Amino acid sequence: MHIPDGFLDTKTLLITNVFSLAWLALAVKKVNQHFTAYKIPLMGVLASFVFTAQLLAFPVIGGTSAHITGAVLLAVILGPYSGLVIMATILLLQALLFQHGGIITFGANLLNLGIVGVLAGYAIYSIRKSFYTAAIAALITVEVGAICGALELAFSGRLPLKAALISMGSANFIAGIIEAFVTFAILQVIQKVRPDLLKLETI
Amino acid sequence: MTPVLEFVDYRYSYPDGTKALDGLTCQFGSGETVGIVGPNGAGKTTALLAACGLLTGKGEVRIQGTVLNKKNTSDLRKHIGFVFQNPDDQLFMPTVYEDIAFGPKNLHYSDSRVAEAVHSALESVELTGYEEKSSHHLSTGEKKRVALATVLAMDPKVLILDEPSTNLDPHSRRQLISLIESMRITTIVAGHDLEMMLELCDRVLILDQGKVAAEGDPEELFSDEVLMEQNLLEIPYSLRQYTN
Amino acid sequence: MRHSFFDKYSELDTPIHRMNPKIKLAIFLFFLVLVSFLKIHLIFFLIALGLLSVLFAIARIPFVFIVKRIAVIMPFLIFIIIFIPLFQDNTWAVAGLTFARALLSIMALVLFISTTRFPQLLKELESIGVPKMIVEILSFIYRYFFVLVGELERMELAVKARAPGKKHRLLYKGFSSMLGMLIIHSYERSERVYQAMQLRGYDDGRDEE
Repeated sequence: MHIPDGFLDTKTLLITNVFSLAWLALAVKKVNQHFTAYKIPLMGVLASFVFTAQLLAFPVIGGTSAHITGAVLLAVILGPYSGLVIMATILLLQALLFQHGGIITFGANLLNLGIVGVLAGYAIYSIRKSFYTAAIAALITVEVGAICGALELAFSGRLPLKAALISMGSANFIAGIIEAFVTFAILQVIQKVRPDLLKLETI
Repeated sequence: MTPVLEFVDYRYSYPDGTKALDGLTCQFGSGETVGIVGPNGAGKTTALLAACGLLTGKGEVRIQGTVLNKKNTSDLRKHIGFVFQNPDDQLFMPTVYEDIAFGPKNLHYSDSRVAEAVHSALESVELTGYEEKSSHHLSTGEKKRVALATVLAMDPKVLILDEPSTNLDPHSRRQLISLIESMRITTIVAGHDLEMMLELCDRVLILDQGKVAAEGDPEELFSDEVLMEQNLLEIPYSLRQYTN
Repeated sequence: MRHSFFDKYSELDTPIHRMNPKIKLAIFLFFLVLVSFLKIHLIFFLIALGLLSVLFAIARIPFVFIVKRIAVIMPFLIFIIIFIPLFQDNTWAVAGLTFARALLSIMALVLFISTTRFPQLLKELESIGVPKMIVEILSFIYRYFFVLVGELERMELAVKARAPGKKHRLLYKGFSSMLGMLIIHSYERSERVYQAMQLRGYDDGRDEE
């Protein structure tokens, strides 16, 4: 869930921004230390892929559609920290170009999609690395990310907690399932056609 | 006279074991325009990549007489201007200016020298004024010319063009041919456009199974029916009246 | 190929477009922070709204375009505004504040982005301290987005051509395969781009193959 500017209150904005930007700073540092510069074209082109993929609408019942985030996919292929950096970049661009998500709410959105999606997703995935755990990680983190969004709005006094949890949670339930399936399916295709993409150095 | 580029018994196999180049020996002299033809899989692109030191195989690649090794590769390869078949792989910066400036900047030119190199390269490809354009707004023909400019800006001794006329409409193709003709640099053109090679090349090499199968004057070679058939090629239309 | 929405109005020539990008960015960010953190009164809101409208007019950004961009957040905004009165005391105050903040923020965002050329924006971001890595990735996304959309469109056409009239189920499987292939193409492209960079002198001290 991308929260636009103006929807969160001061304390929520401060907490989420400080928290997320701290993690982002750490991630940038780790990637700089670990990856040589040659990984930039790789990160850049994969970022472009995820950015494009996020724009695709997967048809769901009743004319609605869902979008995938690619968070766990990034974590699996490039690692949690580079995944976070890429996700942050994508969020920034989406806010600027499409007004999808905001600039001041960047921290909150990075929390929901990056910290939860990529970092926590990676943590779940690495319990036992397999396509199945990746899919489960995707399912869980989409839901949890949505719940975090609900909590942010409730904490800001914009939505009553119960209503927020129910609406965000249910709206993203199907999105979570789709994300799980698509993540699994994409990993399978990669394994079949270019398995070396799954054996890259990760950070 | 030392050849500008030379292969001496060069051999290379892909990671999966397929032999791509199997004893390639040939030379390219200063100022020549040489064509490389052959069926797909004959090793054309592989040979071009090897010329730039992007592969590690057996045998020698010499640039201006010096044998390429791990240490000198990044220096020596700056003398080669390789233009890829697909310009989207070669234009990766937000603006045309930045793409063309990329090379000179890596050569540690001063800012003013970089600017000069960019403008003169754009002039050579007849795209003056395109500096601030973004490459995704350009047509294929324009992209190919910008890609050419990106390597010209580094003042190479050898130009290597991999299938330059592919995907170009007749007008753009004609522009490209005139452009290549007007350049004084040693040029190697690899591809399938035999008509273009008849126009441009002083000499052609026919590659087959990773080595040189024949070498010589384009018109002579391309009119040789037996030779062409053996190498899975065809006599270009403009020459067919000369054969029975 | 439609590459309109990215760069739609950023190539125009108006005083706003020509404005010093550093100053523009500074004002823009300052305004966003102000709007998000301060309690906005009605008067401020109306003045800001008027000011932004004037700026939009000077920048010759069409009204329809602005409305379309604002419409992006409308469903969300309406949803929240319906709920707030249901449980808060100061219902209209909070709802109004949210509305005002959201609207002003998004208008500022749209004004800024449609009067700034993207490559220029990248340079400015770098100068205010955004990590180089992020700016480089932004650059790649911008550069290759349209290439990827083109590939996706062609693949989609191919999937549809082989399943005429069939709807969701087949398209789902097709979708995932397409994305799988697209990511592989992207990976392979990045290998070639890296080669192109090396050939133009990019040296990161890493050993060759």
